[in-house]
Amino acid sequence: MKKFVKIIASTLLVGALLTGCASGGAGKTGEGNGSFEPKREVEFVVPSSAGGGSDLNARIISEIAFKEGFTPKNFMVTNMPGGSGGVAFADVYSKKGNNETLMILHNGQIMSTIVNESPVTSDMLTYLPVVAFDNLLIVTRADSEYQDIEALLEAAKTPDKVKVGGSQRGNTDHLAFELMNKYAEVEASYVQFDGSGDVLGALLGGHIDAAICNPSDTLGQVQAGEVIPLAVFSQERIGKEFEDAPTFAELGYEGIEIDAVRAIAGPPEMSAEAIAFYDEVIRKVTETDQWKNEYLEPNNLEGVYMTSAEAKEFFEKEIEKYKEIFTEVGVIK
Amino acid sequence: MGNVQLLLEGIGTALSFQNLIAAFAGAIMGLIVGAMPGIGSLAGVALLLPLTFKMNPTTAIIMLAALYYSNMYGGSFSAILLNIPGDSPAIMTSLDGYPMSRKGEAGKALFTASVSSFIGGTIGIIMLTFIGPLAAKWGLSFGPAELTWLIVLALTSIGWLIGDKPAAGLLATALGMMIATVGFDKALGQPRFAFGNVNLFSGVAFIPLVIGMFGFGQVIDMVVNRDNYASVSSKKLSIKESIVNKDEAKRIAPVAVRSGLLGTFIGILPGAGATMGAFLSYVTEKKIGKNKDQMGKGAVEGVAAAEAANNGAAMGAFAPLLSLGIPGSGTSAVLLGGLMMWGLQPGPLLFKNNPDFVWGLIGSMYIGNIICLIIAILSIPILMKVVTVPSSLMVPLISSICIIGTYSVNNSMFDVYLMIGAGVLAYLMSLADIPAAPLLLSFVLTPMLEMYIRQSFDISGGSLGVFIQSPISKVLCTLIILFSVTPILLKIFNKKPPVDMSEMDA
Amino acid sequence: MKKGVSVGFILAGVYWIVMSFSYGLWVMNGPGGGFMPLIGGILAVIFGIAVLIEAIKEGTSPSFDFKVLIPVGALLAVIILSKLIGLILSIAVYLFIWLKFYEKESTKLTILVTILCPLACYLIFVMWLKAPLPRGILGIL
Repeated sequence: MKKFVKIIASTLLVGALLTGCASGGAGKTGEGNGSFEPKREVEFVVPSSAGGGSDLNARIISEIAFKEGFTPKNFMVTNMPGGSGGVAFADVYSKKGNNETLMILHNGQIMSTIVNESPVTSDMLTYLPVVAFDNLLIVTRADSEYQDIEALLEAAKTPDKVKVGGSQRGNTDHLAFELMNKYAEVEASYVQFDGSGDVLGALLGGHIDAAICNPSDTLGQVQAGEVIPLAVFSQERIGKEFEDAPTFAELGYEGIEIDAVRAIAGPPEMSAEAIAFYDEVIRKVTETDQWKNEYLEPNNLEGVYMTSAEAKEFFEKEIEKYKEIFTEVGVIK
Repeated sequence: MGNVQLLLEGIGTALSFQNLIAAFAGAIMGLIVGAMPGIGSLAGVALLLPLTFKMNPTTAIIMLAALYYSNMYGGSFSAILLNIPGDSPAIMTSLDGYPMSRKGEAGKALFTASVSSFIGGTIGIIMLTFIGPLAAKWGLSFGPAELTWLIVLALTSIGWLIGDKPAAGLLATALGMMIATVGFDKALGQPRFAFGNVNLFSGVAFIPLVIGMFGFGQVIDMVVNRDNYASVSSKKLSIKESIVNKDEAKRIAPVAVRSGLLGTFIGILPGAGATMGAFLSYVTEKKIGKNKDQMGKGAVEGVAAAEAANNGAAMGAFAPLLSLGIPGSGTSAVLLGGLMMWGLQPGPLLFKNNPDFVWGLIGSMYIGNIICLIIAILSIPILMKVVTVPSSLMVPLISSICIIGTYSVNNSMFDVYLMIGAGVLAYLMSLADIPAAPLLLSFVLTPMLEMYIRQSFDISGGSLGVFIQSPISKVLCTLIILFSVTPILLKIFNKKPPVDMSEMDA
Repeated sequence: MKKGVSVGFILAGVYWIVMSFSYGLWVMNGPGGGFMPLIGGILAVIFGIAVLIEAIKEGTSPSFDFKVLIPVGALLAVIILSKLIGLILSIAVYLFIWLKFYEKESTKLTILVTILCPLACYLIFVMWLKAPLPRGILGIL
């Protein structure tokens, strides 16, 4: 028994040593940032599990903010997946007035919490800066019978003939699909998958006709010529491999415009000084090279910065738009 | 053949000092993470990802990949020693592994698990090397309709696991289905059976359920039925004692190879992973294996089938990831993100544009697999000591691991309450002689089934035709009919009156 | 107890069946939210009845042992305590009390485990895996 204990103890010591090496990372003390500064580690809540887009977003913000000394106290990432954002929203909401809690806010979850009638919706929290747009586009496989968007839309006029896949329900992919159906006046059907990997798999396997996803999801396949981009849902064409895909506006369709939006949020009743502090920190983060080179670039994101006040206005408008169309389509009752 | 040469070059890259250390580090971390119930490879990989930014891409992903597949080796440890599967693929391992442990054969079980994992993993890597891209493409032809049949096949097979008391086992299956329907439905996005609690909106999480039913359920059993747990005597258990004898080795080998192949194929399919692989090959073994009666009571074949398959599937999952840029599971999605961070674009062009990277990775898998095997076997003497810990000590220790392991997954205390509830549920079920494994299996399979049926109908616009359209669907359908109908037919035919011997002599 | 348990499951099955109708059985050309619950509920009722019949035929079965409440109560206490002093410390407290008073182990062993186990958990989960464990109001650990 004693020997067993000794073995465990020594293993732990080794583990601790390895850990010590791994968790290194000295942080410089921050410069005074006006009247507010976090007094302890800031909890940075991520409403999805480790490894996803939101998680990466939070981790890189934390890393840059601390490394560059923008904040005197580290941002600690905490994953709280569940309820399509519902659990995380509820948790952050319960921390009213707490100035040391942040949350990643993704417009997809803003929508899903409304659609799912979660007890806490984003308007009950404090909006903080918007940091990036992730474009959405619709693609098909190279040997599809629809080689451009017009052909697809033409076929989609026949109800249920064209199957378009997207990830999740009540989310940005779904919204993009409904916008297309409404304003291009077609009747395609939506097939819902659990993630962009599954959607693309189904597309390449010939089970669906088109797919809605983000550029980073399909860059590899587009480069290899297996997938062709048909059209983009953003305001302007996306560069690089996706240059040839027109925007819906170019083709004459008004209103088919939506981006996935990445932002930050905080608990209700955060102090004005705290909000100003985070506005500053995040602005500085988005201006660093590391942000651009290690996050925006490889993930094909469009860098954007809106202060918390601007973000609030932006989201309030967006939510109205989303609610309208989802109610029309019956997703919201 | 071009591939072989590339492979050899890849192995050369993998043997560089830096990459060897990376593989080694990944393997150790994965073994530990896999052995601990709760945290799985997903969290491990995601957490290590930022640390690897400073390394060069090949080294980094060698380490992460090693963590991923060594997780399958580690998962068997807690399943065999504590009856707490570290993750869902390990459930099948615990079915035979834990009984073996109780019989004093923990060392043999661990050895079998490690060797089978190695065989399965190696088969997976070989297939990945030579027909990876092809297999991945073939895997794509499994769409929602085909996957529906695959899951139905799996669900009907649960019945085979049950043996003497079919009603109880089927009740457990039904309960698993019911629990699985808690949470959002895919069609309308409405929360079901959530009683207004946000935490239940996305349903009951798997980890609290499995840790609760197996781990905490075990604790409850130990407290209530103390006398059954006289601790296994601490004979001098050494590595020598754990090595299986020739007879057992002969039984293990074909099972491991068969399961490795099956597991790899299932891993290649989008939407099916190590759990399905382990399950289907265990069930196959139970149907056609030589020692089927002993399975479930502590037969090496059971452990071999489950472990070879789950490692094969882990390797198989790399095929669609590398050659098509499509992640098959949460963990591979993280790896995908990592690849993009380093500027590598997974997809059909990866093999062309970055051959040294891809083959370096594949080369290191062979080596990593060997490293895992060696470390696993060397750890056996230490691991076996766990069995000698008296139950009085085990109870509080396992309880602590249950709480922390459950909490750490989603940072949710609610999950911990669920876990405790699941343990009580397991106790109630044991009072009624209802087995727990079918519940967990149907719990994992039902959401997939729901989603695939939904998608199939979305695609077909409501017609049933989609289910028998493709050749794959037809084959799977036939298999299902064969497997369900055969036992019934056998029963009928066995009712023929016995041949009257006296008639024959005349 | 087997009869009681099977009756419980039958009732659960009935509840599931009833609720499944409100979730919609067939929606937009495909199965709605109530489809699976209905199947699960029906199967539970059918097999629950089968098990109940078995139970009635068998006669006796092990009864509910209230000892169950001991580990359950202990863990619930740990959770409540953790809100005050954090999870790691409350586990240490639990280990100490359990080993010393319930299992009546020697003081030496108790202290050894009380220190090593939480330490191990701290090192592995908090330091290495960076999984934040509850710190409690007092903010320690």
